[in-house]
Amino acid sequence: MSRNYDRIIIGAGLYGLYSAVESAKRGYSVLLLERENAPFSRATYINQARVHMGYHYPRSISTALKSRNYFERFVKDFEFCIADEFKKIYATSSKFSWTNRERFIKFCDDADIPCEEISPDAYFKKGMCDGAFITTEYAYDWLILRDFYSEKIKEYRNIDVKLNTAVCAIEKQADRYSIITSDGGEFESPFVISAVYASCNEILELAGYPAFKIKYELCEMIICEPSDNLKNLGITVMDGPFFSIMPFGKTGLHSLTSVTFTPHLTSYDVLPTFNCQKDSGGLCNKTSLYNCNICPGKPETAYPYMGKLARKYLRDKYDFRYKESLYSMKPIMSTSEVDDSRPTVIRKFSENPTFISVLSGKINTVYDLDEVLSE
Amino acid sequence: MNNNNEKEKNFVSAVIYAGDDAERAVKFIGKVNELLTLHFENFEIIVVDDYCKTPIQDELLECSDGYNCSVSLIKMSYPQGVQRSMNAGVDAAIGDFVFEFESTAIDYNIELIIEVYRKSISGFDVVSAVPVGNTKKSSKFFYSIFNKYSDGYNPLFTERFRVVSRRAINRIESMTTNLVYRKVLYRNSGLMCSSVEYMPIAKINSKSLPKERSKLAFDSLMTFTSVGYRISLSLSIFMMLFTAFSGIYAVVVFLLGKPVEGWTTLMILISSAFSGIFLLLTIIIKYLSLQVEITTRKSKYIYENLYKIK
Ligand SMILES: Cc1cc2nc3c(=O)[nH]c(=O)nc-3n(C[C@H](O)[C@H](O)[C@H](O)COP(=O)(O)OP(=O)(O)OC[C@H]3O[C@@H](n4cnc5c(N)ncnc54)[C@H](O)[C@@H]3O)c2cc1C
Repeated sequence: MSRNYDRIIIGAGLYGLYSAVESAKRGYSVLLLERENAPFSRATYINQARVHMGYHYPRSISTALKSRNYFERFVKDFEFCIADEFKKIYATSSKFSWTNRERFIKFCDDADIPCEEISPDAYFKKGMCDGAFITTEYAYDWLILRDFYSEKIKEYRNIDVKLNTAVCAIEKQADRYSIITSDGGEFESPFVISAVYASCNEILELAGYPAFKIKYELCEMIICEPSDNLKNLGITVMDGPFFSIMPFGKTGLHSLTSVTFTPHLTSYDVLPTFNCQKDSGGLCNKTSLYNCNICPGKPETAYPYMGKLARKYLRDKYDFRYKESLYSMKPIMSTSEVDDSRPTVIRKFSENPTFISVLSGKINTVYDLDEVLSE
Repeated sequence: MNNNNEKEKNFVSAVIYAGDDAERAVKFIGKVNELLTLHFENFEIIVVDDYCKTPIQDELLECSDGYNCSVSLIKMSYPQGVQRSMNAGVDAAIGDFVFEFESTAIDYNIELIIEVYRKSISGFDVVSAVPVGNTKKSSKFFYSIFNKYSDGYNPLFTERFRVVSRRAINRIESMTTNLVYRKVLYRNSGLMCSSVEYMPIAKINSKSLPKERSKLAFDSLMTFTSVGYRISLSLSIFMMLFTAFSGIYAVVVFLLGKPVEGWTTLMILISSAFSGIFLLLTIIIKYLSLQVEITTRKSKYIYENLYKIK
């Protein structure tokens, strides 16, 4: 027997949970399907936690402007999980950068985001950076955000959550979709949202819709313990093969990523195909992407490289110690390669019955969903 | 094979100028990868493709499974020669020690690379591998002039490759960004330099173009030594003396004999004017040479992109 819902949402990352709660607020009955045993098990947990104000996109003023607008709203709505007590430094590398001091200043001016110039020598080894700036940028804490949503879901009796439940088949009927799950469940709804991030093409294939043009990067993020001097600092060196080290929410730890060494493997196939899948013990394949962070086939850490790179730039007093590595899959729209923009793409493949797939670009662009959710 | 505990803990980078022979370069990179895997826990390879005729990127990608480290490729936008390309490569390197291979030709036992490294950790910031024996006459001539007129206290030799410490890289970076000739800067860095000599076990044809080599030789003589200034100074002094002598001669002729009407005044005028001009020229040349130094102070290489091979 299949159960009916007004809306079915696939994926319990931030995008799925936001969709579920916003739909429930409007009185819809909602089913949230998640293949992991807890919400926020993938990208919403394993990412750099940066609440973007736009600094990161000096090559895409449109992304920057949008980030700035969403920044304030996100910080206000989710203020309880925002770490904002640290000083955030952006710097432009003297070598190999796609931007430089002058252009960064102009960019901040154009995007109307705060940027106060300071001497690079305060934080960086001599000659490494030609510009350094105090900026306004925060980090969110995934665990606090997850707890918030867990409580929120309990408040709404019209939301059903099924964990450990993967979507295995999607069939379009005249006025609804029927969805079959890994535990043999069958559910129906005239309105389906797929918010599965890196698994988006997997779900689109099940539904028989054209795939997003994306490439996949298997990413590693380092979690480290900052020295006292680094504790209240976030540092990002722009714009090229550099690094970023900043508070990982309110955990007291820092995340470290680098443009060159964070992505371990890249797949340009429609469905993600990676060499490491054969080492996953059958858990991962291109039609069913496993959670990289707990996969037996996950790559060895690139910490020696990332640590070295950061230390090449940072003055010795801003040191850190390796704690652990976290892995997740990042889908990147092929169109955003040149300008490095990260748009959130929402595509409606069918209307009545409605099928929407969202490929999120950033955490704080979650509001892009409002338009489709308010239908 | 060394197990991980016995391997060197220092992070090393190998910067390799791919040259024009992609096949040879890929072979060389393979060998370096093998050797460094044996001896180092962590290392990286940075290949610089100076607009090579046969693009090396695809060949590297093909071999990428065999590499045990991060391999990046810097593609220059147009041919810029060994020195600028190496500057780009070394700028991208993150290692504590950086091996600089300006050529992928091997006329040494590959283990020499490790020997050079060991010498460096024994207390030298720059150690070069220097082939002994028949150096080319033109090179010999260049080095002898160079060593005579430069003020660095470490003499310059033909060298096949070198290892430099991060400290040395930072030092030359802070001295000037006018890195037209890396090896000279290292020699002049004031840090401890040394070399390991070896008997070449093969003959190599120097692949770098004679034109590039002679331009580099000329440029470095002009920039790093006082040759240019000295030559112009001595020429000016010579000419000044010559004109002064003509002046005196004119005065003497005037006093002793009966020169043609107007000759003396003309000669005195000409010789004093020329003396002034030569004096001015000397000063101008000095200014020019200073200008050369200042204007070349911007790091000048233009690259297309930095690709990650592995
Ligand atoms: C390394 C990295 C760094 C990043 N840094 C930042 C940053 O600093 N700031 C920022 O704003 N953004 C950043 N991002 C992007 C950000 O993480 C994502 O945009 C956001 O987390 C996506 O949220 P989501 O809900 O769409 O996806 P997720 O949180 O990944 O949620 C998708 C969920 O779908 C589930 N799922 C998948 N397949 C199925 C299936 N078949 N059935 C049921 N459930 C399924 C998954 O288990 C998962 O829980 C980063 C991303 C990465 C990878």
